[in-house]
Amino acid sequence: MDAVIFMTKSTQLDEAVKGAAPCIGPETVLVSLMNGLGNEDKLLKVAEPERVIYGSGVMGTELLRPGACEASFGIPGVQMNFGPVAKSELNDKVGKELERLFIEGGCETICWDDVKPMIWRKVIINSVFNPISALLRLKVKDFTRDMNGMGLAIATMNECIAVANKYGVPITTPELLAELKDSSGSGIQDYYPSMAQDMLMHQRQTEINTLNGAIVKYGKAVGVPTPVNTVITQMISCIQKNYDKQYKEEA
Amino acid sequence: VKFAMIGSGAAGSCFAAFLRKAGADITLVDPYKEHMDKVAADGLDFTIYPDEHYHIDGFKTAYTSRRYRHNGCSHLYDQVHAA
Repeated sequence: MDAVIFMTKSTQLDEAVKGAAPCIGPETVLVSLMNGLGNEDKLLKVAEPERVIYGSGVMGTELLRPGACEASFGIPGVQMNFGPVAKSELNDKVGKELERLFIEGGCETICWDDVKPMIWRKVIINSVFNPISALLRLKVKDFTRDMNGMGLAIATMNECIAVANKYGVPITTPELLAELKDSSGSGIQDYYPSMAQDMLMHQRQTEINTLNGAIVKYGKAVGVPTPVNTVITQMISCIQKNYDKQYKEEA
Repeated sequence: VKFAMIGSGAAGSCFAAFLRKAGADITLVDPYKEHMDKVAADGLDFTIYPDEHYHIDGFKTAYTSRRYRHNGCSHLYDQVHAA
């Protein structure tokens, strides 16, 4: 294979990479388009930075039934962002080809020289809105209109941004909030994010470890305390391990 | 450029649909056998919400054991490799 794209659950990525060894040659480029932080680190265990591309999509997706799937562009504009871990001829060839194919296929896409700021923005936004929506059982628009809900969102965002700053992504909370207002308007507001869907509707394992869990881990590594993200991670982790024991109202 | 999509659930299938729609040579790999068999036999029905419908065929497919754990899955990847 010239390029192997990984789109597993992040918890299964290590095993998937190991399993894919037979179709990875010395010139194969590995690509992760999965949400969250640190997926590229798992690819870097088996390939050098000159053969790793990472990024993520903005659109919502659903598997309707075997042989049928649906994509929805919640907000107009660029739907896919990715870029190389390190600049190289191989990464350039695959990155440009992926960009061309996505665009020609109808999905607005950018292959960035440095995708890191995009990745961090997405992770921060997901880390703020997804678990809080899941924990409070409220749509984004409903908890952000509540003083306490919004306070929790801002406290979470402040920590995420302190960590991002340490990793060379210079943004501030007011900047990110302003960007959010400009770009998505009501788009992000009126729905239950994927983590809330996983937890409330399907009782599935969530991607907490690549979001708030990753923020905690990355924070620890550079000495940034993340108490709010730690509590959020612990709560979601405990809930998702004990769905069967949760209190349910009598029918 | 030959692509493999390891993990072709909701997101993987949609991403692959865009790529194949533009003519990419792509092999889907997923443990969900029913989905892989359906795509191999009849192609993929791809909707861009709310009302763009496409029928996309010409995918190669393979399926893996659910947790990628068994040594026995390597022959499936040989299948991918050969594709």
